[in-house]
Amino acid sequence: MAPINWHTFYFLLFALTAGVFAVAVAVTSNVVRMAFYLVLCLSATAGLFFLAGADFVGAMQIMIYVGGTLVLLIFGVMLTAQGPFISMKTRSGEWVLGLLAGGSLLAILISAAVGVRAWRPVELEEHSPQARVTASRLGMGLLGARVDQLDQSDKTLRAGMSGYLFPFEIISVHLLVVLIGAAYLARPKKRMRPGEETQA
Amino acid sequence: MPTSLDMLFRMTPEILLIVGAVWIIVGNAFAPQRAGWWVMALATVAMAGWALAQQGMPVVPAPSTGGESVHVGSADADSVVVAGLAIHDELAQAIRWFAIVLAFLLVVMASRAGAESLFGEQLGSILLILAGIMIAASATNLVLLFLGLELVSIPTYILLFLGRANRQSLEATAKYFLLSILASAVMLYGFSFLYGSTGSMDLSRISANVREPASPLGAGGIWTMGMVLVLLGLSFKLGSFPAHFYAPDVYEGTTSVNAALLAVAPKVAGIVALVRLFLMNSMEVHPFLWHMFLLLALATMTIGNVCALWQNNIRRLLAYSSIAHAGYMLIGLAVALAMWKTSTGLQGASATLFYLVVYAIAVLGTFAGLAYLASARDEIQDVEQLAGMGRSYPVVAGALGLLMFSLSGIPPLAGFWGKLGLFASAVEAAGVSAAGVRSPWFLVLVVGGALNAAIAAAYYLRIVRTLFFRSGTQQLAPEGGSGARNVAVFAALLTLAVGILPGPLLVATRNATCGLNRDRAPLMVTAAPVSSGHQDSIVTRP
Repeated sequence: MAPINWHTFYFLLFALTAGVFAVAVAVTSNVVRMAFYLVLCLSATAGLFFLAGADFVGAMQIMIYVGGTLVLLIFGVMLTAQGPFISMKTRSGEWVLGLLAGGSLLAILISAAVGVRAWRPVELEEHSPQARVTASRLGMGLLGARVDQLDQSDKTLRAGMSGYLFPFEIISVHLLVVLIGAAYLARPKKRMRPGEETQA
Repeated sequence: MPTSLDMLFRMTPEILLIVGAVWIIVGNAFAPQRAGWWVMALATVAMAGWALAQQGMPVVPAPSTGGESVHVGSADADSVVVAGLAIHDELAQAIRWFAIVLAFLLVVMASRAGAESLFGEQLGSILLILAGIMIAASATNLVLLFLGLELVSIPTYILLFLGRANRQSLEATAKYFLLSILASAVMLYGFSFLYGSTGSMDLSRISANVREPASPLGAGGIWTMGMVLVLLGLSFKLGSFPAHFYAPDVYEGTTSVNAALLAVAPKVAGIVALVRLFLMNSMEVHPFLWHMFLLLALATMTIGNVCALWQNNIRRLLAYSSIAHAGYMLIGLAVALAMWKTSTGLQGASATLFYLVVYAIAVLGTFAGLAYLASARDEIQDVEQLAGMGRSYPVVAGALGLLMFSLSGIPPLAGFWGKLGLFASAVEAAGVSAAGVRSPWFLVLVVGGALNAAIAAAYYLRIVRTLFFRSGTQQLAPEGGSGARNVAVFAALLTLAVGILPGPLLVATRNATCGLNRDRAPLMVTAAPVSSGHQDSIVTRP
C-alpha cells in the first residue's frame, strides 16, 4: 500500500470543506446559519493558505475574517434581525440570474487561471512553496523596516522603500471615522432634531 | 531608514486636513457652536493650502509654440518626488491643489448645513474626504490607492446619514453604503489579480512586469481580469455605466451639500485612479482596454442624457446629468488609452482633466444654488419649484442659469471648451493612425457625443426656462445661508472666466498630464539636496 501523501490529503480535506460550505452559504435561507457556514468555509480557506506556505495570509484570514468580522456579523445578526429578515426567500428568477452571473464569472476565472503557465501542476513541483516563511518579513515591512530589501545596496534607493507605516496610519483614520459613524447610528432615537420626521 | 522625515514634509497637507478634521469632530461634541468650527475648518483648509504651497506652486508655463511637442514642461522631470508609497508628480500636485480648492468651496457651502450638534461631523467628514482625494491622487502603490479611495467613501456614508432623518434619506444611505462596499470589494478583488499576475503592489513595477514578455505570469488572462474588475469597481465611483443606477435615488434622498459632494469627490478620485492605473499601466499590451472605455463612454452618455430628459425632479435630473458627464470624461480616457505615447493621447488625457475641473466647479455651484434656495426643512425637489426664481432671486437664478448653460456646453462658457477638447481629441484619434490604431469607432464616439450634447441641452434649457420664464406658484424662503449663495455665484463667475480665458486652465491640465507620458520604467531614485534642507528622494528615469 502506497504511503498516504498527507499534503494532498489535507488539501482535499480543506478544499472539500471550503467548497461544500460555500455552497451551503448560498443555498441556506437562514441568516445565522449562513454566517456559521461562512465561518467554516473561511477557516478551511485559511487551512489552504497554510498548506501553500502563506502562513501570514492564513493567520490573517483566521484573525480578521473568522475571529473579527464574522463573529461581529453573527452577533449583529442575532441582536438585530427579527421576523422577515432572519430568513431570506429567494425567488427562482433570482436563482437563475445568480447562477448565470456567478457561473460566467467562474468560467472566466477558471479559464484565466488555467491560462497562467506557471500555475500548471507540472511546474509546481519545481518550486515547492512550503519552505518560505513570510510572516516576520511582512510584519517588519508593516512597521516600516523592509527586511526583504536588505540586499538593496543603494542607500538612497532603500530610503524610497519605506514600509507600510503610512497606510497603517491611514487605516487608523478610517477606523476613527467608522467609530464616529457607529456612535451616531447607535444614539437613542429621541435625540434626533425636533420637527423632523423620525425614522419610520 | 524606515520612514524619512521628508515623507512627513511631503504629506503635511493631508496630515493637516486629517488633524483638523479630528479636532473639529471631537471639539464640536463638547462645544456645539457653528461659527467657531466653521472658521476652524476654513483655517484648516487654508493651512493645508499653505503647506502645499511650500512644495511649489503649480507651474503654468507659457503655451509651447511647437504644436507637436509632447513633453510640455517635462523639463522639470527631475522634480518628481517619491515619498514612501506616494509619488508627487505633476498630476498628483495638480489634483492636490484642486482638492484644496474643492475643500474650500465645500466648507463655505456647508456653512448652514445640518443640525448644530452634528455640524462638526459634517465639516470633519468633508475635510477627511478631501484628504482622501489627495492621498489617492498621489498614490503609487495599490495599498495606498485603495486606502485613499476608501477615505473618500467611508466619511461619505456618515455624511449621507447626517442629512435629513426621513425615510428617503435612510434609503439613500443604505443603498449607497451597500453598493459602495460591493464596488470596493470588486475593486480589491481586481487588485489581488494585479498583484498575483505581476508580483508587486507598486504601480510602476506592475506595468514593468506586465510589459516583460518573458515573465511567466505576465500579460495573461489574470492581469486582464484584474483590470476589468478594477474598472467595474471604479465605475461605481465615477457613476458610469455598469454601476450608475444608484445615483438618482441617492441624490434625491440627501441634502444639496451632500449631493454636491457625491457628484464631485468620488468622480475626482475615480478619474485620478483610472488615469494612474490604466494610463500608467503600459497600454500597448492590451488594446481591448480602449474598446471597453469607448463602449462604456457611449453607453454612459446615452443612458444619462436620455433618462434625464424624463425627470421632473431636479435632483434626479442632476444625478442623470452627472452620469452623462462621467460618460463624456470617459471619451478622453478612451482616446488617451488608444493613442498613448502620442500627442493625441496626451490631449485626450488633459481634455479629461479639463472637463473634470469644469464639471466639478459647475455642479458644485448648481447644488450650492439649490442649497441656498431651499428652506431649512425641505430641499428643492421639483423643477417647478424653481419657477419665478429669476424675478425673486435674480443673482442666484442668474448664476444657476449660467451654470446650466455651461453644463450643456454653450459657447462662451467653460463647459464649451471642455466638450470641444474632448471631441477634438476623439476626432483626431479617428484620423490619425498612430501605433496602428485607426478606428472609425472614434467617429461614432464623436457623433454619439454630439447627439448627446444636443439631448442634454434640452433638459438644461428647460431648467433655465423654468427659472426665468415661468411665474412662480409658491414662495420659497431661501434659508441655505449666504455661504451657499456665494459659492454658487463664485462658481458661475469662475465658469464665465474660464470660458472667456481658457488658456491658463488648458495649459495647467496639459502640464498635469505631461508627466504621464514619461517612460514608466521602474523608478530609479537618486539623492539630491533640496533648498529646504530635507534629503529628498528625487526620481530620474533613464
